[in-house]
Amino acid sequence: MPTWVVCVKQTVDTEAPQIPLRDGHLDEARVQFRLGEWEAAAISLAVTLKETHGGEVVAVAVGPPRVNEALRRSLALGADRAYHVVADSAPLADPILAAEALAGLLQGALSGAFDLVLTGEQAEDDLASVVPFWLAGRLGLPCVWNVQRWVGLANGQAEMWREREGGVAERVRVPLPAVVAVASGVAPPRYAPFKAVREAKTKPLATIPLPDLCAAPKAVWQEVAVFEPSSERDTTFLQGSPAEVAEALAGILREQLGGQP
Amino acid sequence: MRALWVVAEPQDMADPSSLQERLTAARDLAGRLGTEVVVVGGEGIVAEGADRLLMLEGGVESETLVALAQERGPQALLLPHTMWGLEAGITLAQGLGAALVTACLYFDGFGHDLRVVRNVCMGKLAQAVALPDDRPWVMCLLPGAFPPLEGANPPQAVERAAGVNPAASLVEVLEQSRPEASTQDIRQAKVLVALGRGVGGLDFIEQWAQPLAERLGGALAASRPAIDAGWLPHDRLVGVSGATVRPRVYLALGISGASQHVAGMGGSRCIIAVNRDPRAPIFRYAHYGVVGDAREIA
Repeated sequence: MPTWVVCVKQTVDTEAPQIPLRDGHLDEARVQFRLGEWEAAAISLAVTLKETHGGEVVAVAVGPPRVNEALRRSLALGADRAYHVVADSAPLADPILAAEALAGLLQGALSGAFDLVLTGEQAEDDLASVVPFWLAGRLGLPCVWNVQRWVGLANGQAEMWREREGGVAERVRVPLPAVVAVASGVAPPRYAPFKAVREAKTKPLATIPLPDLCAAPKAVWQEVAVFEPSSERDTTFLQGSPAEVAEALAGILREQLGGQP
Repeated sequence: MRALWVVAEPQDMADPSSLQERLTAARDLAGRLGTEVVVVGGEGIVAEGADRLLMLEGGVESETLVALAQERGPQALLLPHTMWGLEAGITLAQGLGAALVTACLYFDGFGHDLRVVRNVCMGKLAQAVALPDDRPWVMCLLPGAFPPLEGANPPQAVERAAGVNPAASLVEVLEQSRPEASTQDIRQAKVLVALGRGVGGLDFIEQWAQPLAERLGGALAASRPAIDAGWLPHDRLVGVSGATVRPRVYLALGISGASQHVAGMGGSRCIIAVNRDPRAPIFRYAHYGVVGDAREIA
């Protein structure tokens, strides 16, 4: 029976109206968190694989107690069970901390018995893209990054389209198990009806303290500050009613394009 | 003197602009640390702006890089934040026990007080990090974060080193498809009307954006979410995985301004951004900004 593992991160909701800061760092008590868009896409793909090939979907995450919510959400979206490695890691901390913990979980609690490890191609908060490659290196597995479309699975090999810089798309084949990091458009978003949310509360979710898995990994670099970047340009903001703004924009376009409308 | 390695990726041979960006970053960083700049690359690499060139016979490959770096002990290695750069960078960081910083934007401070500034939270925030002195640093720089280095001198010394034959990759490439030359090449357009997630929907494009682009003698372009949603074909994508454009006017409607997008349009002569979110990163690059809904102004 295949096991589809999905590494999820409970990310800062970067579309929230505010990402509050305090004393030059994220104000974690006031930040809104969510199951990230890339993570939700990875869960959606894993559930599709389960629907096609059978098996079970296992969601895994690292972080403080609040991370439980992202795992319950993953269960509501169709994962069968979940593991939460409890560790005191900040949302923007050196990602090797989480990557080492996940490697410990996959080799330890899951004893290497999985067919595919799915991750997002990046997390919307730290944007690091470290976890998939780090896991692949630690576990000695191939890694396919920025997967835009899943093609299929046959004879222990998976086929998919990935995208490189410059818009070059590649259809690749990889033996399983493998680490696959997906783009947010890899699978359509799924919705969790009320019934699924209720059922998710009874699905198995194991919590494992980090020290039970591996010698606590340490962050190598340290955050000094988080801040709003300064503007690259002296931006002129146009004010007024929509009609006035439209008029002003037409004027700018005329000026820039040399007399055209 | 310790060295700062600028690692060339195989595709830098065909298009050196990304390597030139890393060389600008390297000259900046070398000044802050008092190091020399060494380009490490395969046969035929152009390394103007480097103090020395280390040419690897057989090409650049992660295992070779790890062995060479272990032997020579560079203080820092600069790679691109691309598929190749991330994979090589992480192999290097694991092999060397190095600090690893990705999505790097710029440097700040000097010597022991050096800070590396990273892109976080979809470009709405930046994070400054401090690196430890007791190990090398591997840094992956975002494309477009630094301007390309131009008019620099060739390296004073060129050294050759033997590479090893890389192990066959387990990822087998079956087919490659390059973006097709479209009927309307967005790189040639003097005006681009670019659409993002925030303008939602084909009706907006058909009723308003397309006629506007035609009236201005320009073309439609898009950021990633608008392509993923199927509103426009892939050949309209601007950014790291699409086209790099420099039109006279870039009208960004409902585009938040993630670094991957800005890398493809930051050089436009006049950038006009319309977005509901006053904190959208696109406003930091815009000459003119409108906080509001593009549909209302239409």
